[in-house]
Amino acid sequence: MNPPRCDRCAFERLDELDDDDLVHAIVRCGACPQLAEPRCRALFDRLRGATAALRRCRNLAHKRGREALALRQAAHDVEDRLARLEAVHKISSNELEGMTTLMWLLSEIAAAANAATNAEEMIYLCLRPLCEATGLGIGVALFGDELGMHYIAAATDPGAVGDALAAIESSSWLSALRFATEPQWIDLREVSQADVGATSWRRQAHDAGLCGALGIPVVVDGEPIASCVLLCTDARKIDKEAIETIVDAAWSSLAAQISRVISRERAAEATEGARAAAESANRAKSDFVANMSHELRTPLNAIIGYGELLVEDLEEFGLNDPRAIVERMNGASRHLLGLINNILDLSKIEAGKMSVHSEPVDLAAEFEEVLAVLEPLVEDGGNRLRCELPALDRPLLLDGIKLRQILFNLIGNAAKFTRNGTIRVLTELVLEGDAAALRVSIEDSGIGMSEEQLARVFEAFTQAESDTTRRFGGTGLGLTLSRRLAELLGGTLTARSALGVGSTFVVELPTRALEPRARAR
Amino acid sequence: MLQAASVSCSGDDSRAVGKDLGSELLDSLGRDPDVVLLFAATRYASADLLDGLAARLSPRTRVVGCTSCAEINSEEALSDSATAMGLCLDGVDVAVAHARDDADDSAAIGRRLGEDLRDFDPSLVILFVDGTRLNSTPLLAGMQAVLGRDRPIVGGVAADDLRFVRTEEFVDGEALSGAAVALALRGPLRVESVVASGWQAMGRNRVITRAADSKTITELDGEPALEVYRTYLGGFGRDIDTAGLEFPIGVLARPGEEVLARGDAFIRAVQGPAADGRGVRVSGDIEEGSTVRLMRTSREALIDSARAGIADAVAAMPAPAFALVFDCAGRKVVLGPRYKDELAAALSALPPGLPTVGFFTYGELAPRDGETIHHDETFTAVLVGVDGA
Repeated sequence: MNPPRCDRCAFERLDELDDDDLVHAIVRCGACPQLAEPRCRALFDRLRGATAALRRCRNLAHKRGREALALRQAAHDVEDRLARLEAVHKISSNELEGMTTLMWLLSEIAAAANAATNAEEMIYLCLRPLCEATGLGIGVALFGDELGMHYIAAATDPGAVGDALAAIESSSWLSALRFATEPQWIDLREVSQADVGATSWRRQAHDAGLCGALGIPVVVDGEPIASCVLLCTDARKIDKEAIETIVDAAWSSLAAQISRVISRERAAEATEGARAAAESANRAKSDFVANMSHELRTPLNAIIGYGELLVEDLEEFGLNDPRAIVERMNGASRHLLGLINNILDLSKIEAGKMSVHSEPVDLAAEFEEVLAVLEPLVEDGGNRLRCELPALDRPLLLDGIKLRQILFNLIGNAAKFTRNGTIRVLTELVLEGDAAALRVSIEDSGIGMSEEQLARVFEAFTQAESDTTRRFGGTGLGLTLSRRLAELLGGTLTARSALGVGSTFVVELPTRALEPRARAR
Repeated sequence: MLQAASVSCSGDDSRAVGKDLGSELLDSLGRDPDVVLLFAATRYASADLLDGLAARLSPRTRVVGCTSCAEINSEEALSDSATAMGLCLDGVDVAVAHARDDADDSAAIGRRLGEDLRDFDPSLVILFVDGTRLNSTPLLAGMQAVLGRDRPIVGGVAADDLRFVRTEEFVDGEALSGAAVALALRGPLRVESVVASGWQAMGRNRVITRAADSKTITELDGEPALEVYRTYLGGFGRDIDTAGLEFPIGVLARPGEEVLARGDAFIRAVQGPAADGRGVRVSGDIEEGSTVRLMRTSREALIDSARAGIADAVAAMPAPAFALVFDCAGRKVVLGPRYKDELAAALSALPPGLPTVGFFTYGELAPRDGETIHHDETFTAVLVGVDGA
C-alpha cells in the first residue's frame, strides 16, 4: 500500500466521511495505531467487507435498473414498429383490394363490350359491375337526355328514388354531363336551402335518401354517346378517394370499349346492307330472266307453230324452195327455244324455284326413251352407241325428268362431238351401306378437250372453242345446266378428257332402291 | 508480472461512480494500477468521474480513455456504465501522449503524437481519437509517417451514445474534446489482433470512379452511386434513410492494391445521399479508384463472426494477459438489444476469467495486412501477452 495520505486521522473526522471514504482513508493510512487493538482490527475488516459488498450491490442494482429501462424502451420501440407494420399491412391490403376490384371492373367492362351488340346494351351490362365496384346502390344509363335502363341494388324508398330520377333526367346537370370532360361527383349529403329553387333535383335526391351522385360521361371521338349516373344510397360507403381511382379507370375503359362496340356495330350494319343489296340485285336479275324467258318463249312458240303450218301448206302446194327456207327458220326458232328453256331452268335453279320430284323410276325404260329420241343424231354422225345397264328387278327413287334432261344433254353432246366413233353409256348402281348412288359414265371417242378447255367446260356460255358452236351447234348451256341439275339432286357431274382421244362425263346421283312390288312409272 | 482487472460501475452521482471504480480496482488488484483504461457513457460528468477516480487512486496512476456508446468488461457488454481496466505493468514501460489542434487538423495531430512517442519507440500504441471533430484516417497516416506504417496501433474512435455532438478523451485528470490520446507500451509484449466483419459481399465488384471528397462516393463504374445503391436496396425493400448501416460498402482493394478473392474487405457504413443527389456519404475515408462491393448480412452472421474472430486469435495466443475489444456502435444499432449476444459469444471464446475491457466506438483502429487503418461496422479486438510471463 501507499504511504499514509491522511493529514488528519480519520477517526477524528468520522462525521465528514461516509463508510467508503472512511475505509479508504484508513486503508491508505496503512499502519493506523487505532487498529492495533485486534478487536478494532476485526471490526474494521468487517466494515471494509460490508462497504465493498454494499458498493457492489449498489452498482449492480443501478446497472440492472438501467438495463431494465433500456429493455422497456426496446419493447416500446418494437411495439411501435409492430404498430407501424400493421398500419402498412392494412394500407397494402386495402390497396390490393382496391386493385383487385379495379381489375374485376375492367374485365367486366371488356366482357360487356364483347357480349353487347350495341352501345346501349353495353352500358346496361356495365351498370351492375359499376355499382358493385364503387359500392354505390343505383346505376342509371342515359342516352341523349333520356333515361335508359337502370340497375337498383339498394334503395330505401323506390318511389322517391323514381321521382328523383325523373328530376335528374330533366336537370341541367345531366345536360351538361353529356359534354363533361371528366366524371362528376355531386355530394348530396348536405343540400342547402339555396339549392331548392334552381336545382331542385338535388333536394329531391337528398329527400329520397341519396347521399351522392356520380356522373360518368361516355364520349367517343368528341361525340357524346351516353352517360352513366351512379347514386349512393349509403353514406357509410362513400370513400371518395378509393372510388375516384376506380371511376377514373372505368371512365376511360368505358369510352375505349364502347368505341369498339360502336365500330363493330357500324361494320355489321355495313355488311348487312351490302348483303341485302347484293341479294336484291340477284333476285331482280333472276326475276327478270325468268320473266323475259316467258315473254320470249310465248311468241317463239307461235312462230314455230305457224312455221310448221306454213311448211305443211307449202308441201301441199309443191313449193319446195320456199319450204326449205321456212324449215331453216323453224330450225333457228327451235334452237332459240332450247336456249331459252335452258336459261329458264338455270334461273329457276338460281332463284331456288326448281323443285325436286322423287318418284319410283324404271331405269331401263328411261334409257330406252332417251336413246330412241337421240338415235337419229347418233346415226347422223356414223357413230355406234353401246349402252350397258345393270339388271335391276326393282325401281329406283329418283327425279326421272331431271335424270332424262341430264342424259339428253350428255349423250347428245357425245354424239355431236364424235364422228364415226363409239359412244359408251355405262350405268352402275353403287351401294355403300344404306346409301345407294346411280353412276352413269358417258364415254366418247370424239375430238376431246385440252386441260384448259376441260377446266372451263362447266361455265355458262362456254364451248370448248367458240368456233365449235358453228360446227357443232348447241347453246353452250347444256353442261352448265346438267351440272346444276346433278347438284340440285344431291349428286355430282365430273368430266375427264384428252384432246383427240375423247371425253368421259360421269354423273353420280344419290338414290334408293325400292321394294320390287313398287310399281315403276 | 503483468496484472489486470476490469470493473464496471453505474450510478447517478458521477463522482461517487468514479470513487467506486477506484475502490473496485484497488480491491481487485490489491494495489494501485500503473495505468487505467476508462470508458464511460456520456451521461457521466467526466470531470467528476475522473475526480472521484483520482480520489481513490495513487497520483502516479496514468488514466487514458474516452466517452463511448456502450462498454465492455470481462463478463458482458453494458450500457450507461463507467468501465475501467487497471493494469499493473511490471517490466513494461508506459508513456502517455495526447494532442489537439485549434484547427482540428487530424494529420497534424497524428504527426505530433508520433513525434512525442518516437523516442519512446513503443511496442504497442493504444489510441483514442475524438469522434465528432477529428478524422482518424489522416491522423493514423500522420502517426505512421513518423512511427512507421507497421507500428502496432489499436484503439477506437470516441463515441457519444449516438448523439454525434461531442465526444471526450480522457488523459489523467482531464477530459478533453477534439483530442487524440495515446497510451504507449514498451516491453516484451506480444499482440494478436482480431478484425471480424461478418459482412457478406453481394453483386459484383465495382470501382469508385469518382469521389467528390474523402467521404462521398459520387460514381461507381461511371454510374451515379446513389442510383446503384438504391437499386440494390430496392431489391431488399429498403430505402437509404434507414438501411445504410445494414447495407454498408466493403472496400476490397485500395488503388494500386491487388483485388483478392478472400473476403477481407474493410467496411464503410453508408450515411445517406450526398448533397448533390448523385452520390452517397460514407462513415469513413474512401479513395477514388478503390474496388468495392455492396455488403449485407444477418444478425447471426455478425455474432458468429465476432466469436470466430476471437477463437482464431486465441488459437494463435492461448494465454494472453488481457484483452481489449473495440466494437462498432453501428453493429450495436443493427443488432439492437442483441448487441449483448455478440459480446457474450465473443467473450465465451476467450480463456475463462481473462481481464477484458473495451467499448463501442465510432470507428475501429486495427491492422489490415500489418498496417493499422480505420474500420467501420467491424468487431476488432487485441489479445496482449507478455513474453516470459
